[in-house]
Order: sequence, then structure tokens, then C-alpha cells
Amino acid sequence: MMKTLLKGLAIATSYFLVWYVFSLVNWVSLFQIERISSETEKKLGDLFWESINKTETVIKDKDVVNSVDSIVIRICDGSNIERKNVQVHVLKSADVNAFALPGGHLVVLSGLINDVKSPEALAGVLAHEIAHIERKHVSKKLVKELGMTAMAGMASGGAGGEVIKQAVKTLSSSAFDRKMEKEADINAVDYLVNAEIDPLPFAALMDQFAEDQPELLSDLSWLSTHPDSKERAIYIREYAEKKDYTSKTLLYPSNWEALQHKLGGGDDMEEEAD
Amino acid sequence: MEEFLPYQPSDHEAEKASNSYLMSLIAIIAGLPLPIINLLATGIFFLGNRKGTYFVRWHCTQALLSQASLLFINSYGFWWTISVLFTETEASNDYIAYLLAALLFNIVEFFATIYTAVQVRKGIHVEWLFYSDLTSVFVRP
Repeated sequence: MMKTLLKGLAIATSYFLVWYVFSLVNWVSLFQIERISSETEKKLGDLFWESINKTETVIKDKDVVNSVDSIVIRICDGSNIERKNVQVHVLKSADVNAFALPGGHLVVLSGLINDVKSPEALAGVLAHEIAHIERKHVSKKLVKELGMTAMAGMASGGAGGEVIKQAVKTLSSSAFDRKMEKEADINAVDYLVNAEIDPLPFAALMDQFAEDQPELLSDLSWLSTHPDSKERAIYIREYAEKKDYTSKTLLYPSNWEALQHKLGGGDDMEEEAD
Repeated sequence: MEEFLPYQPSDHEAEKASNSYLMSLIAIIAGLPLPIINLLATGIFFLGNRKGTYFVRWHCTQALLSQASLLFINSYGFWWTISVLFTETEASNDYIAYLLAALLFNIVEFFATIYTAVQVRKGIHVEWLFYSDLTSVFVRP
């Protein structure tokens, strides 16, 4: 019996040995399954941003840009994220949305800034998008949705404006898969804690989204691309509560109000929330 | 041969025993993407020959058992592929190496099965490493 078992073990071992020997070869680069290189990613990001820049209203007001930038800087500094890797753009739009493009472009719509109740909640969304950038979710998603060939074609200038627009639409209006979203949420909490920003308003924002869901579904793009806000609120809160954190003021209330006011929704939003 | 069987198997017996290997071969071809098919096909053939002679039963069992490890290897590879295609799991070096190792073992088993089918058809008894021992545990004269 022992002999039989040893023979079985020999067969199993031989399989693992062959697997191990094969795995020493770098098949990924041999078959060129490589993820898009950072250079290609940067080119793509610039192309996408150019396309958005042409068709959308970009908010260049210094107060607005600086306020959002200061939140991003705080998040990046807290977690040693290269600040250069994240470029923030604020667009004028009623949609409640924020999304990441390749090459570290982070696009925030004014509708989101108006909808959130505090700078900490906005920081949560920004941290979530930064996590997508840092974890290379954006390029992974692009490769998955559009294919490697399309990526290479676009980067080398072979694609028309329509194709690029379509790619931007995919990135801004469809979700990453569940696992990536959860990963980004958990990472976001880490980033917030590291930056001494209270993560609980981020969880509260998820609750807010869950409550708003039935009537505002069509407007809340960020929500509709990120399923199960209630569930997200629960695990974000659970994870945050396990953390030992201190929080410091992110934006002075007067600055936050001024920001929301400038974007045209502060007062209205307050009325709506009441 | 004498040790295993005290007589030379008849042409009819040899054909039946050989067919069990052929059955697993056909199933390998048909069932490559879904490895469970191999096992089902050989399993059905095995059940059909439960009342056969010792020689037939023994080879049907060896044909069935010899597929067990490939069933595991291929199933794991199948689900790994599904997760690469439909989730964010990446096609890593480990994954490709696994598929190549699986392919190699499938090829080895394929030719070993052909060889065994041919030999058994001639009435020659062929024992596979490990699987023959297991077979002898399950099948008694």
C-alpha cells in the first residue's frame, strides 16, 4: 500500500515539477501579454483628456481647483503616492460622478462636489479613484473592455475621435468589477486614515447614495456604476472602525461652503437635503 | 502475462478491454474543454462492463482511474481559465506554465492510452504506474 502511495506521490510531484520548470520561463513577455506600458498609458490618458477638454466645460477657477487639489495632495502625501501621478480636473456637470482615466487623470464633476455633505466625503471618493489609479485598475479595465490591439492603435494615433470618445464613455460610465471596487474602497479608507482624514463621512456618503438611489438613479452616475451602496457603506464603516485613527480638519467650513457655492449648488443642495 | 491471467484472453475480451481505452480517448477529444465528459464516458463504459471477465473489468477500471488525475488537473485549469477570462485574474506566468504542463500531461496520457489500447487489443496486459496498483485493489479475479 505504501509503495502504491509513493508511486502516486511521484506522479503528483512530477506534475508540480513540470509546472515549476515551465513557470521559470517569462511567458507573459514572450507572448506579449504585457499590460500596456506606462508610456502608452500616459499617451492614452492625454488623448482621452484632450477629447474631454474639447467637448466639456473645464472649471479653471483657482479657488475650486486649489481646494480639490489640496485634498488630493493631502491624500497623496499621507500614503507616499507620487503627486505627479495624479492630475485632477474639475468639469462642470450636474452628474454626480468622478472617474479615473489612464495616465493618472482624475476627473471630478461639479455635481459630485455639490452633492456631498462634507469635504471628507469628497476626499473618500477622490481616494477611491486614486486607488483605482494606483492599482492600475484603469488600464486593466481598458484592456479587458477594448482589447490590447485597440489600445496600441489608439496610442499610436490610429484611432478617430469617435473611438476615443467611446473609450472615455466606457471609463466614465461603467463600473470596474466588484472585486476592484471593493479593493478601491478599502484602499481609500487606508489612504484617508493615513492622511488623518475621517473615513466615516465616506461611509455616510454611501448611505446617502443608497437613500437617494430610487429617485435620482439617472443623475447619480457614480452611484449607478458602483452597485450596492448600502453594502459598501457597511464594509467601509466596519473597516474604518477597526482602524485607530486621528482626524484633522481637511477644509475650513467657510472654504467648503465657498467651494460649493461657487459651483452653483451649495444653497440649492441644502434645501433639497432638508 | 501468465502472472496476471492464467489464460490468453479471447479476441472478444481483448476487444472489449481495448475499447475502454478507446472510449477514454474519444472522450478526451470531445471533453478537452470540459474534462468531466471523459470521466462520464469512461464511467458509463465501466458500468456497462461490470459483469465482464476479469481481464475486461480490470482494464475498464484502469482506464477509468487513470483519468482521475487529469480530471483534477484539467478542472483546475478550466476554472483558472474562466477566472482569467471573466474576472480580473491575470494571465500570469504561473497560469501559462500550468496550462502547458497540463497540455503535456494530456499528450502523454493520450499516447499512453493509444499504446495501451493497441496492446490490450492484442491481448497483451499493460500496467500503468500507480494506477495498476490501485486497479488491483478495486478489481479482484
